[in-house]
Amino acid sequence: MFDEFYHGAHEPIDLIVLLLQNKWQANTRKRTVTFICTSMKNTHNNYKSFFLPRYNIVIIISTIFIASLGLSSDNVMAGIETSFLYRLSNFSGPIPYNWANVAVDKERNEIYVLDRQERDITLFNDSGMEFYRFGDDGSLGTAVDAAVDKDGNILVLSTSWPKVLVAKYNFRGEPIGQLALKDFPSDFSVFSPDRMVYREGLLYLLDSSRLRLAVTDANGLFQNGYDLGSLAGIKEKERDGTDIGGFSVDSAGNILFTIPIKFAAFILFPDGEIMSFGKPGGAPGKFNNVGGIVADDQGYYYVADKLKSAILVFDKDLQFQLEFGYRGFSPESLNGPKDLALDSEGRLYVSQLGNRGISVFQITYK
Amino acid sequence: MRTKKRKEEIKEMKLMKLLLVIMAAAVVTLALGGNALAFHGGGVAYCAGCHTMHNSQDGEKRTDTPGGALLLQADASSACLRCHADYGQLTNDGTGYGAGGDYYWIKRTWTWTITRGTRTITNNSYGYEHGHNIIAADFGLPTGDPKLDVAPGGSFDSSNLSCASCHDPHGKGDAPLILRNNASYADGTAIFPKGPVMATLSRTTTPGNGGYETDDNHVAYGSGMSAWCAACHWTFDDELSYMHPTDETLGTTIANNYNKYISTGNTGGGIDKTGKYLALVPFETGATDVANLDTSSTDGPDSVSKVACISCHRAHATAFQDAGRWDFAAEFLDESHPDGGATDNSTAAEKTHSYYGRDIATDFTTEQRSLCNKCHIQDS
Repeated sequence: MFDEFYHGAHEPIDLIVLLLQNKWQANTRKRTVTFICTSMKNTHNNYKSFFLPRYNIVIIISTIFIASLGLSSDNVMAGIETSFLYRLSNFSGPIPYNWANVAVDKERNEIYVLDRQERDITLFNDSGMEFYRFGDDGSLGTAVDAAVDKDGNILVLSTSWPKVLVAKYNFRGEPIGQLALKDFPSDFSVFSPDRMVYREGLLYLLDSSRLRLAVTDANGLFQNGYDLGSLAGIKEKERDGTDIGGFSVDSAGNILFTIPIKFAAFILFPDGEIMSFGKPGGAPGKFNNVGGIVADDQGYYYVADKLKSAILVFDKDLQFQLEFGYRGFSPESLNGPKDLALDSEGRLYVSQLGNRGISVFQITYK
Repeated sequence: MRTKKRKEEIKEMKLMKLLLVIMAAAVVTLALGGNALAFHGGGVAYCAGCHTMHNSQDGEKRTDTPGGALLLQADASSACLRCHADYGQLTNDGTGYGAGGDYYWIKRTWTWTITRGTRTITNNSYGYEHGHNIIAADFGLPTGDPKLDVAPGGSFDSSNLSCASCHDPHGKGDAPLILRNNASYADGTAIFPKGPVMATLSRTTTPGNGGYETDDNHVAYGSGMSAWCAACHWTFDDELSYMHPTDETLGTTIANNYNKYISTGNTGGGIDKTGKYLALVPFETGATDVANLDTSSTDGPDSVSKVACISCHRAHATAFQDAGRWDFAAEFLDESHPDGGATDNSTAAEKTHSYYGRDIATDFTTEQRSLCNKCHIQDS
């Protein structure tokens, strides 16, 4: 391209190219940034008139600015490491789930997986081995999400439009009742939740396509409601077709969610303040199509990217740290990661496509 | 001489300014671009969203083989469904209630037995018979159609079938639903005319959302749909082939039948078209301008309305054979398969979803026969 530009130009020019060479070294998991300055001098005679010093400065500053915009998110040293552990399995090997929902009972470090295709819930121990399964008799109906309350009971959300049902099961998978969703205000009269999180005695019910979140107490009594679309700045005309891709609530009660079509992740703090981060793009640290989002107790945010097939990690200041996964045949490769969950031992659970099931990664802080 | 030199300097200055403008534009694009745009904003996504230019990610070579066209995913449909599965085009339970239907159904096979005297006969409604067998390996659809090598009524190779066979992910043209528009494949197996005239709904088709089909919230078809389907199924649009007509006006008799037919044994609806639209049996109004189409219209047809392929079939898939909008094989629609587990291996929810939330016994009658009768009334 340079050659074509050089010879094709009507006026002879000289170019000084200042490059930022940014390279990620996988073996050392470190990034090097190198400045390269080079001159492409031509042989024509009006070098001086063209290459005035003030333009040199403008070119160089602009180049640095452009390069920094493109690369600024990359040159941060990661404060954590991740390593692949295993995939959730039974005695036949890894279970080939596709985009299953994952929930973690942090008190008991048990993992609950809702397989919407098979309509069952499987319980795994903290070694990732199945130890119980229920619902495979069809009794769960059209279950869309599951959560675990403080007593270890399993809550199952079913939506048979327009009816919403939260059923409660004991640890054996035996039905022990239903939550009556009560006192919902009129602006929640059309509300079809498809995601559910239980945290600190509160039940968070998300209607991901209407961008609305209802919070109830443990008995289903309405406590609070959020129009996440408005809070995220979604205009009325944009709402149709704008969905929430991932959703969770961290240990501090912050509500985390992603909106793929906006290439953005959001943090809604309990005081009502909202913050967003993310830029579109294929480069490390940028979002293609974001799904699940979780945060650990150290303040790191983990965002699943379904198109990039990677998990992106940001620190508490929302600075990009690293990303890992990618399609491939290696054990640590990922395929269409979507739902995420964290347990109390620093293990990250990643739900995938393509019969890849749920991969588990260990997070280590440097 | 001085003038010539001065001119050259001016030219150089202009070039310099041009360079600065380009750089400024790049800065603005990098800083502001994309955040406010949807993935297909401007008609096309950014390339790296779906493609890997050098079969690499984060500076390392990928360990797998990219899909065709350097796709990041295993194949074109898998790329599309990363996003659109969530919108209801391939659900986990059949709750994609869009006009095109839900690819979920091509993953579901119903099996049941009937007894005739001493004989027990096993029947099947195979998943691969339920719609277009797109290849989407990442979503459990790796093989394509196991029976048909080419499109019925045409020669399009079924092993190439993907979302991108009919939709143009790069959004060329101005067709609804980014349908392929005045385009053709090099081998001549599909020659698409101008995209049909139709008013569409939201792409989110799960129950309660904007694309959820009901009698007052539906795609409004104007014209050109059958000719467009015929891009691949070209002999099915051949008037000499003794097939059910498509792209033909209904005429007064058929239009009146449609409007007065309520259910088997009940033709008391009257010929006034007001409030007679049935989304299970749509039609083209004949409109050639999308401005004349209304997705909330509940009007039935009139004599110039047209029957189209989509009057009886859905474009993606349904719970029934031949992507039928209803079970063509059932004597009584209330006994369609899936029957909710009464005799086959389906669930109650699948029975409900198969007719887009309608209860045939309640909304029609337990003796409701084929909806061919909506136009032809042979069951009164």
